[in-house]
Amino acid sequence: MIAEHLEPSAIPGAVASDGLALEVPVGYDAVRQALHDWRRWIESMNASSDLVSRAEIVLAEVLNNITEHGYAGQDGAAVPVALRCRISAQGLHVSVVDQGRPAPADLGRKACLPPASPAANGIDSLPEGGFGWFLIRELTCNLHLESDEDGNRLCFVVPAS
Amino acid sequence: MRLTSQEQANWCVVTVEERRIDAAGAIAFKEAMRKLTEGLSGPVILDLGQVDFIDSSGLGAVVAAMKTLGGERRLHLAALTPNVDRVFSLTRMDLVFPIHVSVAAALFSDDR
Repeated sequence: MIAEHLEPSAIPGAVASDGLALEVPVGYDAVRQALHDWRRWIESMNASSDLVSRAEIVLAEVLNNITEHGYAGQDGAAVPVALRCRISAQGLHVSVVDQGRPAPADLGRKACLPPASPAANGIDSLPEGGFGWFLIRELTCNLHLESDEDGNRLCFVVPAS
Repeated sequence: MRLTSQEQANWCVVTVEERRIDAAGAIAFKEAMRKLTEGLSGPVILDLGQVDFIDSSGLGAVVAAMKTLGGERRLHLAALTPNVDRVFSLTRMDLVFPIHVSVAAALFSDDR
């Protein structure tokens, strides 16, 4: 984890008085470590445990998606993902910038729950994936995605309640 | 991924001794589930009482584990913590799995 503007703080990446900036290397283990560091920060901000729980699900899905799709096949050229968070009365404001492949323009808007009707179709028809963007949509508001040749910037708010 | 198993009253009880089932551990979870359940018989209770976080990859791994057991052998879930319960509810996977408040409640369930 590379912190920007390192403050004399025990929390990696903590900046200024209330914001967090983390450089997250690409990879599932790195995502797990980043969430651990993020959790230490947000718990120090006295966020409600409910907000922390919802936000951790969203951040895990966003960062894992980038690992899985954005950087697929780009081993060795991976630029860390820039994660920035701040808290307001509205909730947790997040921006995530990655340099991976441009995200499809309709990503997120398309997200819907995979069909799950076990009784009708048998267990083999149950989905094992596709839940990620659905969870992100369910748990955020003001979701906004910009993609250009410089990468992808995803912004959203996890509401306070 | 630490999982343990034991037979109890003709059930196969698998306990996840981890705090997370996430993308970094999903493949290891599926593999550990397969190894532990193939040596035992009976419906399976997955004790998630120690798990406080699951992501969509972890959820997919639990669904995959159920498929591996086959249609004749059900996978029950027990002792979901609040955040794990939230992920199952939001994705409506709580309608797919029999869910029990505790392993003890599952053991005494008629629904096998």
